[in-house]
Amino acid sequence: MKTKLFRKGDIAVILVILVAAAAFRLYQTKQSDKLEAVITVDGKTVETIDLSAVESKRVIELDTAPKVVIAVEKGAIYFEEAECDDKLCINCGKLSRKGDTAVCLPAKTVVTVSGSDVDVMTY
Amino acid sequence: MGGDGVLKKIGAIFAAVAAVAIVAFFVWDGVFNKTASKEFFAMDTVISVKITGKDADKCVAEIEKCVAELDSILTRHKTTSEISIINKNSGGNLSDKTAEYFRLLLDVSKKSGGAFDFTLGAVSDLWGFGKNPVVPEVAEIQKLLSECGYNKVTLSGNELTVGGGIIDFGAVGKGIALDEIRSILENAKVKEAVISVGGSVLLYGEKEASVGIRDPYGNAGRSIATLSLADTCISTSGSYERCFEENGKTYHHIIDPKTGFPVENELISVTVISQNGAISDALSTACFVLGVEKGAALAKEFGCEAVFITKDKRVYATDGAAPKLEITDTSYTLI
Amino acid sequence: MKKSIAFKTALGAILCAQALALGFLESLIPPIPFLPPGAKPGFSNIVTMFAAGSLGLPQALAITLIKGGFAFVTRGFTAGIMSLSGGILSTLAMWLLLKFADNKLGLIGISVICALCHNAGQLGAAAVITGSGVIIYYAPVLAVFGIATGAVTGIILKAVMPVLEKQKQYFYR
Repeated sequence: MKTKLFRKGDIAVILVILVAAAAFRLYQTKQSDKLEAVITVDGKTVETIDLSAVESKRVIELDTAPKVVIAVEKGAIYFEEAECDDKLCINCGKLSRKGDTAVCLPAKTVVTVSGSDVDVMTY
Repeated sequence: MGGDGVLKKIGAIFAAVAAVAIVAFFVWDGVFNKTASKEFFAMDTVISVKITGKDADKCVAEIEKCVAELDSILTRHKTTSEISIINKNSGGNLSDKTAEYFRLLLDVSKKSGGAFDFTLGAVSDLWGFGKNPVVPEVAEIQKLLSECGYNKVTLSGNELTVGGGIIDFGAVGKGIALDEIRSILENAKVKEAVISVGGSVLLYGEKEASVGIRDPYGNAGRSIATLSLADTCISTSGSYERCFEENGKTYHHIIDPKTGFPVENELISVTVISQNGAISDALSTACFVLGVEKGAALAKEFGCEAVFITKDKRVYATDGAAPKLEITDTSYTLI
Repeated sequence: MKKSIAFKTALGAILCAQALALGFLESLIPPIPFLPPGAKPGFSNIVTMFAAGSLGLPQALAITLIKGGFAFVTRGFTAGIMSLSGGILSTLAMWLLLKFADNKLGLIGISVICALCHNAGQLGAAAVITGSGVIIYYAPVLAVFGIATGAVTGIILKAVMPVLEKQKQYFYR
């Protein structure tokens, strides 16, 4: 194997990727939102929660295999328990901002904080 | 070959600069577009803040502290608050800031011909909204009404004299909180912020946000129309808040200072848009009391915009508000 | 005894072991902030890339499949699918690039592209498994992370190349 470590083409590759990533990130920040959590299991929405409206902590036990328990509290949602091995979903911590996402692949469960068409309510 | 080398060098430098710029963008994005949000309870209501900018976290903490302080100044629940002391002494020497708010509210009271009156503390206590509401005796109300009135309040310099009635900032406390929060944001490195103090909203920064006007007949999270606005305050007064029923009749919390009874007119909610939070709060109450026509005239006098919603689901918007308004619930019609 | 099937298999097995060992070492790294948990540098690509460049596509694919099988056995079904989806895509990419583009790209560039293919394959598989496209949110950050880890992988590969070549000589005499 006699490939050189570095050629000019590498710079082009890295630049193109950086530009694309930056553009995508800019596009993401343009999206507006409201603090709303969506729990989906296997692509189907199980529950939609307005995190602003949550007054005290409650837990949602999902009937998945492996079993997961999602906790909701004022302004945040997170995986509290999961009967899987890696606990990656629990390591995601508390989701409280637009776009925050936690995924439990074994349980096919996604929790995401998504935007709605209204930023704030007046009443 | 030599020229080629120079070109290559220029190309390499250009590429390096571009790469550094993009990496810098990611770092900058992480630092200056930092978002912080928090929801907490204070001033008897829910306060939600969402701030984007370098100082986001710092601002959230400061706002929490500021609102708690403001609560301890404005509340009538505690005898040690500034308002309670003013009420006890029928006036007093005010701090510059408090004097400024009194000046503003007196102005709204005068220009609204008393439709907004912040001296009716005793009357609303009589109704007991929020706690143990009852319909009081007419004679009792009449007696209290004759004792109070904004026109008995005088402010010369910072010296306040209350000639009768009990000062109550219940209708404007949220708006005052918004003004205080705005001054925190102005003194920090913040790009934009969306603040809601119990439904009174402050939009800070140049980015436009869509503000949902609550469905008067539906649950609090549903909106019937949206306003696309930036850098302003929005307050709403609606007869759906803090209401109660007695003998088959519903009573709500917006008291007509002329009768001492809840306002009875065609309106179910009024939303006012103003640069000043205290004014938007005060005007939303005054406009509710005055009705569509006089209310719109008053808003105009203050250079504010307003959206009126009637019980029969008609929506009136002032000339400045109409282009920003989008009705999302088709059972409501814009007149 | 030239390139007998037994020797090829033996070398493949040793490379597999090396790839798995690197994968294990990597799993000891704590989660990195700003990145989705589970994002890893992918150092086992050093071995796969050597195989793709020096031994050919079948050997490289075999290593990838065994790596996936190992993940399947030790960490479960989803981990196995994730390993395979990212691994196969990036192995195909590295073989193609090393074969047809090595006069235009260096190890760093190729390695970066492969890291991104690995990410793309995994994000795609995760999207299919969860039936939800929201994880695409992580794509830009992952891409920048991929550039860094890809470059590091490329540099390490160049550095250990003599050793790997020497190891190969034991079996390909």
